[in-house]
Amino acid sequence: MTQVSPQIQLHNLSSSDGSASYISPCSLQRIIAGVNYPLEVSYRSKEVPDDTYIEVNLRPHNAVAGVKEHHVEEVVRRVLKSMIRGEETPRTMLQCTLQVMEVENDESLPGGVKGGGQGESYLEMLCGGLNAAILGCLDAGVQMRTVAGAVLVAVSKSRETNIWPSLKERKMAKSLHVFAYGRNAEMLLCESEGEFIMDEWERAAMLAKRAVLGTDDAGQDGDVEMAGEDDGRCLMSEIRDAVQARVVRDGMGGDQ
Amino acid sequence: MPRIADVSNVEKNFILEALTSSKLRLDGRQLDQYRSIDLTYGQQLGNATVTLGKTKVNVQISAEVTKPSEERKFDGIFTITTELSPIASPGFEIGRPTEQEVLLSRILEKAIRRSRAIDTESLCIVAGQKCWSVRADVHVLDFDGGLTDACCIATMAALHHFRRPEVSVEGERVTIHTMAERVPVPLSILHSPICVTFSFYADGELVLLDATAKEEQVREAEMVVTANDFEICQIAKHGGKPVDPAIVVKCFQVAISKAREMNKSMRARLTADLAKRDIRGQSAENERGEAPIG
Repeated sequence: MTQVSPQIQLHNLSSSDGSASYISPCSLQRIIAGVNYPLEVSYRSKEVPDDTYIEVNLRPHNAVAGVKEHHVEEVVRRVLKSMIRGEETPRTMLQCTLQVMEVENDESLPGGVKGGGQGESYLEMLCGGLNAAILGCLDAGVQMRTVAGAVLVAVSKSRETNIWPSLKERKMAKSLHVFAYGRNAEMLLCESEGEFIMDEWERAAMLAKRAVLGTDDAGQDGDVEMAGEDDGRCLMSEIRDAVQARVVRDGMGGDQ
Repeated sequence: MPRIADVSNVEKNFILEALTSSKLRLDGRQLDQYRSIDLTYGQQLGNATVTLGKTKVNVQISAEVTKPSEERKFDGIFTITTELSPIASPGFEIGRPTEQEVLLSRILEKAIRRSRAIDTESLCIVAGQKCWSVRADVHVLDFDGGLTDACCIATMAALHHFRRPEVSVEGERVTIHTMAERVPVPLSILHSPICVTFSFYADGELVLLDATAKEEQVREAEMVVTANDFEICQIAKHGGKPVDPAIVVKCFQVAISKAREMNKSMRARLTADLAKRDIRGQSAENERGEAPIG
């Protein structure tokens, strides 16, 4: 199975503490994340005495944030909250800004600009946004319990499961799912849309796990890299490579 | 409330001392030299990213069909939205526009929309009923000075790059054709304004182009001059120390030559990009659209 994987680049902005750009493999969706951490909490009432307050802002490419964006923000915030060791920096804030740079236009629609519209499924944006946010946190040096990756899975009318479905496949799909898995194969998020039965969901979850972690038995010992090497590119090895590339680039910058 | 770190007194004195005594800038540039400008286009039409040194701006153009305003029945709608988010600098906050943000959007508005760079009449489909609403979303991703200049270049570059779907009108019926059905059409752009920001030091004696964030913090006055290939479109000098008129006039000459230079390189980059994606004869369309800019 030749698997496509997202394009990731870390630290491509200079002002944010951490930043990452993420290009989805299934469409032209491009999201850039900027993470500032730790910051002072801007409103005293939001300060958490024993935890880090997390703020996620999602900015669409061609409009102001609506209901859909706010929902995605909230889901991303909850996942980040479960991953981040907030107790290490109490009374501070983690500010994560996700800027959608581009989405794929549906050229079969007149106008063709409805890709990011309010009526469309939020799952693709959630998948990209979550990955970008996690990568941004990784780059900003946020202390985390685990590293996770999210993938989008579509179940077609003929009950086939597709990982990273294209725009056409997404439109034809019976159900769409987003799964996020942590490094130790723990499921951190599952959001589904459409009609499906348990068996389909389980197969979709299995496929997603393999796409994030590599082979099925990976994650038992928490060692992803060894297992992931032979079976195409999994999301975790992609993240690993991006971090490596950043460290190498930093090292070269230091030498000059 | 978050804010951008101020330049310390020592650093301020250092920058000013170097400038006034030996005309040296922190990054070793000439006084009238811009940082390297890089323009890249996204996969979609109407998406441009401009980097000016460390400053990075992305602009997305989109269009939809709406009802024109009651007062202007024969005009389409063109809006520019600028919002500074914390991604650009921890000093920016969401939902609380700073003075800088308001000034930026007003200058862009004045430079591009009110100088009629876009022919809004050509956006009209059926008078009083249907028109195109073109929207430019300016996303500032990274901030290190020269925001006005970078935003203006990015917006113009994206506008030149954008194609809207073709429409046909038969009596009352309006058909919007998909991108696959008919070749999309470029916007009718009347001229191409470019903003050039001048920073003044030493009682207006020293004039700097493309100041970085640090240089911006220690300047005495600033002036934004917008020019196209032929003339000045807009001047904005909000406060600061007074500047000798002779110097201001000199600035105008510089602005026009800089605008010409930038428009030339923008056009070269645009032609290269459109030639690359010449799948549906878009470069032929391009020639038609480019003609009035001269």
